Amino acid sequence: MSLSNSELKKIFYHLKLPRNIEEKMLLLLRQGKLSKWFSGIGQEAIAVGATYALKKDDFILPMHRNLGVFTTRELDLEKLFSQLMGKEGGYTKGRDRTFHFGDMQNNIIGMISHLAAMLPVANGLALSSKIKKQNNIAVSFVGDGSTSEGDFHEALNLAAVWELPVIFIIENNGYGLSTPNKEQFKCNDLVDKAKGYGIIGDIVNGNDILDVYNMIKKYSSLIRKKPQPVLIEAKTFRIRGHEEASGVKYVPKKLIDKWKKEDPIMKFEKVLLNKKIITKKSISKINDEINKKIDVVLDKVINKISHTLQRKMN
Amino acid sequence: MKDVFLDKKFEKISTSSNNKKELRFVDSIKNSLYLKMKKDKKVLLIGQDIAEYGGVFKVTEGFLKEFGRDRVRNTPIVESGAIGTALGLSLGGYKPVVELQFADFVSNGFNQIVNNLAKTYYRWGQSVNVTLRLPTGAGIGGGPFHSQSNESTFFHIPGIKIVYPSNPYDAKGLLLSSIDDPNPVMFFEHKALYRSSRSIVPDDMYNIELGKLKVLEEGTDLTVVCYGLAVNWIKEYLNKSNYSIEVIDLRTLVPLDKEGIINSIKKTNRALILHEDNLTGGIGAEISSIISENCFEYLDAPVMRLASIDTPVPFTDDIEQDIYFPKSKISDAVEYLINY
Repeated sequence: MSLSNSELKKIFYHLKLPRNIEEKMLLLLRQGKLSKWFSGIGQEAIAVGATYALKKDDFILPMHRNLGVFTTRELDLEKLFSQLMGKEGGYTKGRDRTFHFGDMQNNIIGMISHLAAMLPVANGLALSSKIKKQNNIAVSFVGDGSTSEGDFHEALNLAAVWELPVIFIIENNGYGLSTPNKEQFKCNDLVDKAKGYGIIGDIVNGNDILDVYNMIKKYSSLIRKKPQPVLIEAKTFRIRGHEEASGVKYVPKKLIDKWKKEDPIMKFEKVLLNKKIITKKSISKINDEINKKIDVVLDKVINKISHTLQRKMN
Repeated sequence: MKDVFLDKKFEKISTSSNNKKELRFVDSIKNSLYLKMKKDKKVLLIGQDIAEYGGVFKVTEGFLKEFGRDRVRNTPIVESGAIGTALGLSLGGYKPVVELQFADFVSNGFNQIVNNLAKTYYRWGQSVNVTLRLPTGAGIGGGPFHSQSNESTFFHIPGIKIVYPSNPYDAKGLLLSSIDDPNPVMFFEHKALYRSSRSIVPDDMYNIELGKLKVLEEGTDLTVVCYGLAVNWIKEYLNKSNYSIEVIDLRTLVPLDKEGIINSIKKTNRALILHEDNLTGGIGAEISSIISENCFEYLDAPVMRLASIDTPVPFTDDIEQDIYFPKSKISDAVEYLINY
C-alpha cells in the first residue's frame, strides 16, 4: 500500500462526507422535507473506495445507495442537494428523483430503477474507450438482487466475449428489498458466476475501504493494460431498510448488530488512530467541518422553491 | 414536452450529381448505411451475424472487410444487452446502429428501449443517438415469430422516434436522417419489400426530414392514410379504381405529421386508415382520434380503419394473405365511405 498519510486523511474525509450527508437527509425525511431515501449507511466504503481508486475520466455507473460516488467525484453539493430534494437547480429539472441522474462532465451515468439495466450500458462505454484506445475503463455497480436479472447475464457474457475494460461491482448487502441471499441465489458466493463467463472474479471486504481501494486499483491497472471484464463481489450489509418506509423488521436483529460492529467508518478510524495518522480530536474536527459545510449548502437549498411551485408561479 | 426529444434543426443534404439507378429496398438500405459509414467515422454497427455473414438479409455483406471489426461487430444472441451497449456507445460519442435480426426479437430488448433509450434525455438531458434497424412484417410465410408488426407497442412510449419507409427512395433518405438524429430511432424495414420493392434512387447521399408525410397521390373523394406494406396494397387497388383517392404515406410514425393528415381530410372529407399491424390499439386508432377531434365538422362519413385481424400472424401463405391481411376488404371499405 503506497498511500501517503495525507491521502489516507483525504480518504477518511471522503468516507465520512456521504455518511454525514445521509444522516442529515434522514433527519429531513422525518421532517417531511424529503420524499424518499435509499440508505447506503454501512456500505460507503465500496462507493468511496472504488471512486477514489479510479481516474476522473473513468466512467462510473452508480446505483441508489452510492452517494459516495457523487461526493468522491466532488460534484457541486448545492446542485447535488437540489437534485436530491427536488428543488430547482438540480440535474433533472424535477424530471426524476434522487439518484436517477447522470453528469457526463464527471463521467457519471444516470441509473434507472430496473436494477441490472445499466450493466450493458457500461459495456458500451467500455467499448467506446477501447475503440478510441483511450485507456479509461467503466465501473458499474449492482446489488445482490440484480444478479438474478437477465441483463446481468447478457452484460457479463458480452463483456467477456468482447474483452471490454469494465469492472462489475456487486454490492452484496444481504437483502434485495426483503429477500435474503438464500432466496436470491444458490451458489456459495456471487463471484462464483465469474467462472461461468470465463472472466476474473474476486471477493473484497466491502466494509474495509483500503481493501476496496487496493482491489479496484489493482484490477483497473490490469484492465487498462489488457482490456477485459472483472467481477468483484463486495461483501457488506444493509444496516437500514430497503428504503426508509420499508423498515428492517424482516432482518434478524442480531445480524444488524453484528454488522454494526463492522461499520466501515469505525474500522477505518481504528486503522488511522493505530497508525497515529489522526487523533480523536482531529476526527471530531473533521466531523464538525463536514457538518458545517453541509449546513451552509442546505440552508441555501432548503429555501429554494420546488419545481412544482416554480411552475405554478410561471 | 420539449424535454422529450433533443431538438435539432433539419439540414437538407442534397445529391450533388444526377446519377441514379434502380435499386431494391434492401440494396438502398445497404447503400445508405455504406455511404454514411464511409463519411461518418462515428457510425458503428452491432448485431447478430452482421460481420462475416453479412446479416441474415445480407444488408451488411462486405462491410467487415471495408470498415473493420471495431465498426462492424457481431454480438452474441442478445437483444437487451446489445441495445444497452448501444446507449453506452452513444454516451461515449458514437452513433451506433443496432441490427435486430427480426423485429420480433425486439421484445427481448423492451426494457432498454422504453426505460433507458426513451427516457435518458428527458431525465438528465443526455442525447441518445441510437438507431435500431428492425426487419419487420408479414407476407413472407414467417409465422408468429418472424412476421410481427410491433411498431404500435413503441408508438405509445414517449421518447422514441419511429420511422417506417415504404419504398427504396424514402428508405435511403430516412435512414440517413435517423442515424443523424440525436434521439433514439426505431427504423422499420419491411422484409416483404426488401426484394420486391424497387425505385429509382440517386447514387449520392441525401436525407429526408423525419416527421413529414408524403402525399403519393392527390385526390378529392377520399383520403387513405397508410404506411409500410399497406402503401403497396393501396397502389394495387388504385390500378383498378376510378375514384379520385388521395394517398398519404406517413413515412414517420413518431413524430407524426398531424397537420398533413388533417389538411388532407379537410379537403377530401373522408378517411380510411390502412395498416398491416393488427387493428386493436394500432396506429390507426390514434390517427382516427386525431381526425375525429380535428376534422369532425368536415367529415362526410365515419372514420374507418382497416388492419390485420387481431390474431398472431399465421404461418401459411393463404391464411396470411387472404384472411389475416385486410387487403381484400379495401374495395368494400372505399365503396362504403364514398357512398355513405
